Amino acid sequence: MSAESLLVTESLTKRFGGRCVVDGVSLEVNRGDVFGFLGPNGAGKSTTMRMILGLVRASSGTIRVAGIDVGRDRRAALAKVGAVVEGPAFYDHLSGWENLEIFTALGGGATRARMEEALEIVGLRGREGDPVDVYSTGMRQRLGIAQALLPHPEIILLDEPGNGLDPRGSLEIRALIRQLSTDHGLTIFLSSHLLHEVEQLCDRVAILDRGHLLYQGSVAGLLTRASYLRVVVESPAAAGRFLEGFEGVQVLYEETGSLTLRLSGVDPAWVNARLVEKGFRVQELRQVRESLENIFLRLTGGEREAAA
Amino acid sequence: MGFSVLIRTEFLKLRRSRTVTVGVVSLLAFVLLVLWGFHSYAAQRLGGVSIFGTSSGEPGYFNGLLFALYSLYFAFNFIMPVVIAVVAGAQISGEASAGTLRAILSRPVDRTSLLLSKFAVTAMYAWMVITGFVIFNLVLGFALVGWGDLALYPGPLGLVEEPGSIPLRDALGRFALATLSGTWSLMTLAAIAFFLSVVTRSPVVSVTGAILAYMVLTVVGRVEFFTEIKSHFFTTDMDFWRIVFKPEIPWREIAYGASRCGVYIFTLLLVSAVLFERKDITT
Repeated sequence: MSAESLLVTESLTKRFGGRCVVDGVSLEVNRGDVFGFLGPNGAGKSTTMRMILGLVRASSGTIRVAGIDVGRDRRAALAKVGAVVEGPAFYDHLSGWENLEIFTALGGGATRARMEEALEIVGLRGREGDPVDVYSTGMRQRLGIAQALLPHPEIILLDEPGNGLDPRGSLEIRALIRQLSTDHGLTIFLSSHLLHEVEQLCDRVAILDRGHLLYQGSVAGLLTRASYLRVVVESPAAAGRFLEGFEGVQVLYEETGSLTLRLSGVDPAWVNARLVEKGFRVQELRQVRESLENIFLRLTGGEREAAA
Repeated sequence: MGFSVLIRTEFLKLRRSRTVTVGVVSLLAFVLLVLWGFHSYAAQRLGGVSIFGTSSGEPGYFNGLLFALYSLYFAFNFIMPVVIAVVAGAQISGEASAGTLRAILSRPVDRTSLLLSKFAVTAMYAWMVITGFVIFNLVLGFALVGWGDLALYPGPLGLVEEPGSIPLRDALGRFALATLSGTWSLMTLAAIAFFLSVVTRSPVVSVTGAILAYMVLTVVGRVEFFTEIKSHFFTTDMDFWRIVFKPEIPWREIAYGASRCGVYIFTLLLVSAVLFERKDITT
């Protein structure tokens, strides 16, 4: 755990009966991160978030928020966290303001000025007197974020914030999340299955599938790792056989007139030089970046399922 | 965060809830129904003469105090337990199914304090409902039926073997005492509903379960076949609330009934608190 780590889980595991829904997940979210937590439905994202918030007891493993062990001192740890888990939930018969009053009281108290500021940040000033049952999905999401902001948290956990929103609403929520990170210096831990949302917002991601952590690191690193080289060459089959003999070159597939390669630690220019040396006529070399969606599907096995 | 803040918060939620409004309206409607029944019955017993509008000049029979006592007695048989169980049974499972429980517990709140504050607010609510109900009945009874000493007759109340009475001033004190004994009695049912609310996810299940247990044991307890075992029913212990209306207050009996109810209340609360502390909030 580095000095910059704000949220750390170590070998976090949760079993419900005999079923393991989260299996040894170790996450590290650094201060200032907008951290995307990706996974298909049922991957264990919500359970992990619930364990972080102390809503669900971990079967084993530890969780630390700002160095405080959630298992040992849940209240002190949660004082550093603002959260909207599985959609914002409110007392619909009460007004937005009354709901904030309730959550303010539960959060250890926030001033009236702070409540007004939170409403201002999320763009709900003027609507706080309306009963929540007349709020749109987007407004509820905003009120949820306002509620999470009340105790001056160091980190905000948002569970599927784009769920149920129309394109404009999604855009507005994304802008708000970006603003919370850049203008207010908040660390954001964001679970989502909307990959474009994660790609646009997050600088680091973790991918979870069936309770197992498949990847954790920067979005850029993930995308770079998943880049390919498309080589348009005469006799692609022969060129492929030739290149397979080199370390760091993997032939993914051959098509009519082209080869697709995955390179690790090998420069495309070097590939070009080897092919030309061997007498292959290279017509085009093109770096192809796999989309986050494809990476996600490949990692979580969804590509096979989609094809089937 | 102090316990008083939690109490205030729970009150704010309860005060504006539709369940409370429906409960209060139902109780008011029930009083009017009792009044109608009381009026028609009294008219029939007095040879078709309406007793409405009589006052202290009339004999104590069918006066406002007796009306209030019967109204309270009938209400305690069904509608009052339902009104209290509906609120108590929804305290945890209602919030769980609405998702607000996870939102609350995502804040640095002590679970046991939250549970106890909810129960305390349910108890205050029960006391206010019963007190309001008693006052409303007395006012309505005095205004429409008349006033005088509280006449007691052998019958469904089972308070006396021979006809007797309690002087007006003393009787009013008994009504005040009944608001406390009634609240304590109903908290037994509230504790059952509360316990079910902790162990189930659905407020329908917890409320229905508690009401069903109450109704079944109340009805069964009146069947001769169960005379020997009915002393083991919690509904029998709950019945202590009304013996404050016996001509001589049987304090020892009251203490016994209140203690038995207290054992139910504290045991169920303790078990609920332990379970709630360990409960995984998955809704």
